[in-house]
Amino acid sequence: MADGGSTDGRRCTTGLYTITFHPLGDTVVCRADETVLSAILRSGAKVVFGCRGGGCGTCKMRLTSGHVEYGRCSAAVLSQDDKRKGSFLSCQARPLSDLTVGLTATNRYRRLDVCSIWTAERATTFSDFPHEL
Amino acid sequence: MPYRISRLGTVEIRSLDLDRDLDYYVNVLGLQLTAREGRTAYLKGWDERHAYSVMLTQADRAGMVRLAFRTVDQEDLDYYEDRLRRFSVKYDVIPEDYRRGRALRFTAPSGHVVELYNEMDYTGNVLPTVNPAPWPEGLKGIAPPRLDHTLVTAPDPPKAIQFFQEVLEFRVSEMLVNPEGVPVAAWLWQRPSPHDIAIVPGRAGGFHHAAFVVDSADALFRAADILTMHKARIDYGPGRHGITRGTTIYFFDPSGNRLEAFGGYTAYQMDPDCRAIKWTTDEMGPAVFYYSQELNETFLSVYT
Repeated sequence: MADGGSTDGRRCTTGLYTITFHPLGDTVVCRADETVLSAILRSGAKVVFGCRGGGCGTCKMRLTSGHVEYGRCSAAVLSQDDKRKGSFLSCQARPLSDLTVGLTATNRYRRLDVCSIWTAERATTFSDFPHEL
Repeated sequence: MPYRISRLGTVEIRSLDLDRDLDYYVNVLGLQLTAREGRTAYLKGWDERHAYSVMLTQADRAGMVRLAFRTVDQEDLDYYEDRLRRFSVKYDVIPEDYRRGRALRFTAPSGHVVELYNEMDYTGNVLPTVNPAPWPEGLKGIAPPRLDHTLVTAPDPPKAIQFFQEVLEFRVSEMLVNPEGVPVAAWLWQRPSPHDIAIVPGRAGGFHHAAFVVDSADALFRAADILTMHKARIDYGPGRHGITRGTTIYFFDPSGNRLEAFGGYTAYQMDPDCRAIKWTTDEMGPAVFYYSQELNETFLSVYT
């Protein structure tokens, strides 16, 4: 949620924002001090990304609502015009508000539930452990 | 045919934030900073004898500005100037650059600015020249001894490969051929090692990576540890290439330029009459990444 709000466009460093991915409707919680890509990966979802340094443009996404701080991006892969049209590099951009992102096929967003499966298995295994050491 | 190029002498890499990236190149990659002049920092591996091998330049984008080969002798520059004229390659004579003498500058068909030079200030490595230790103590980061090679992209690889072969007299150590027998990528050498430069398909002027030497398996795994400790983005490895047999780890600098720690210690040495090794595109997986036997998602598509 937009903790503290961001209507003045300034970053709230302690806030949590919600990113909603269209057309899937998936949501991810993103801290104000982390990048959109970090939040996606932390959630267990996967997307295509490259250099993670703002240089290659592989992780480009389309913002349909909300505001981001773009971070340091190569002008060769994210021009001012790209920004005006709603593009951002997910490896560099940090949220300034709740965001809605329009996924395209090139983002290859997918959610593998490996993490929760593994956690569930581990929980079972641990409960079977004898308590004496 | 004598070889006239002693090594890949310098690469100039663009940085989106010079202060930030310089910290990475010095403390994580572990190059020696030799000077900083305005928007450019000059660096080199600890065992390199000349003033610098890497230029890191503040820019609004990532990628490579230029690459330069050092000739064996001064007269090799005249030799190449004659060849450039003979093949009608437009070139400029650059009388001098930072701590460097005369250079020939031209654009290769791959779209890269390439320079040939011979003179650069001889500053020595970090060891004494009398009774030296085998390696210096107190190095930071991966600390490669030297720059090894670069890999660049070209929209028409056969044309670019032919240019390096015919005009600059590089030889092909290995090539990747498509089912029609056309080379789509080549590894080219003059120094008797698997490659000084390699060319793969991609955008004109694209920078795939610059590689630095690591000289043991220990050093390679230590590089992986250091990169992970600093949360650097590793693209692939530690692993091994089928092509060149070199061991490898690929990673990105903070501006997104791909770098490699290349274990040439597992590679081979060339003789002048060595014939090219051929890889077929249906075996591209093990050709590039020998152990995983398949390309990862980023290797071909991600470059600056």
